[in-house]
Amino acid sequence: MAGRLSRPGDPMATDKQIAANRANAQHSTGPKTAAGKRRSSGNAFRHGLSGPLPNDELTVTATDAIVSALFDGADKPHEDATAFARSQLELRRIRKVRHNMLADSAHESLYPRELRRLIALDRYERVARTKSRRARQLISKRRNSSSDS
Amino acid sequence: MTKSVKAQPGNLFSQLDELLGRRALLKGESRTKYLELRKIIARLMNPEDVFDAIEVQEIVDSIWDSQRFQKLAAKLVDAEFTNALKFLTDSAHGYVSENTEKWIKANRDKAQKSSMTDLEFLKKIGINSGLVLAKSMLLAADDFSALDRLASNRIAARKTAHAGYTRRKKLQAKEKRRAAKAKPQQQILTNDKSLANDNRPTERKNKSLNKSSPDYDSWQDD
Repeated sequence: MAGRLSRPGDPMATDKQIAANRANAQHSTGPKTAAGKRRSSGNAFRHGLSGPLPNDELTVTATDAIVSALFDGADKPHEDATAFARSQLELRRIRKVRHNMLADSAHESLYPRELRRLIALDRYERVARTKSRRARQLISKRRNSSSDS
Repeated sequence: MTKSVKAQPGNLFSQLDELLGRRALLKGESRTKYLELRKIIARLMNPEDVFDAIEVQEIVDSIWDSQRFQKLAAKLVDAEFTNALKFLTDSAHGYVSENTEKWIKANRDKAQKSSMTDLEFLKKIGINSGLVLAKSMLLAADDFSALDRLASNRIAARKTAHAGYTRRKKLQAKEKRRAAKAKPQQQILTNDKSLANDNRPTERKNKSLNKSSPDYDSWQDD
């Protein structure tokens, strides 16, 4: 059933070969069941940091807790405050992943691949820190403008 | 808008820990040492609110991480120690002759039995600890560069956090000065306003204004 790869100068594939190719293709088309598809969808998943923070109940509660702790209850919490809180949560998430990576390495030192991943984590952290700094700047700007008026 | 209540640094950090969670440490790292470092940095930077505390925490974390990576670099060298020994005792690399290599193979077990360390044993054939260390470092060079990058990222983060903190403090001080300057001017303005609303006759008004000055009329009479 297995057909060999064609080379330049070879005659065109016969009907039999084409049929064999089609039959072979049916053997390697990936997972069929929903569970299999779900599982293979996470094959490239490493830490989930490239995506934004999930909008689940836990994140929303944590964001609200930070906003209410940092800002007066009398003032309506604005979007910069929420952005600041979310960036802090993001930083926490990245640090947790890094900590797990370092803690999981059972051997004395890190392998080069792990070191490369640590460097990649630093990039995520830098982005989150920039978000936090910008949100903080906007908050202080807003505070200054409100105190001037 | 933000909570600007002045608080003790200790309280600020406990509030921060409650909010964002305590800093996780690795096995073998001392919590007491970490808290001590945070205390020292807090004393130097004097955080006044939670925002300041977050920045101080960032600086402390970056220092702690740099120290951690330095320790990891030392571990990398230790891990390459065995490979360095193998390399140096292999005659193919030119550090020892073939005869010496044979002699090493024949006598190594004996040396280990007599509780002689590898370095002490190799000293006999002219390979000293400096050479082994240098070779270990060379073998770990690639990983060193990665750790170096991680450490330099921490330094950059620390510098940014510190610059932001200093800038904000300067702005706050400037605002305070401006507010302090504006206060007396406002008082003068309110004084002027009260004078404008004063309906008393001019003589009595002047008298009340010059209350602190000597009474010239009575002096002339004398």
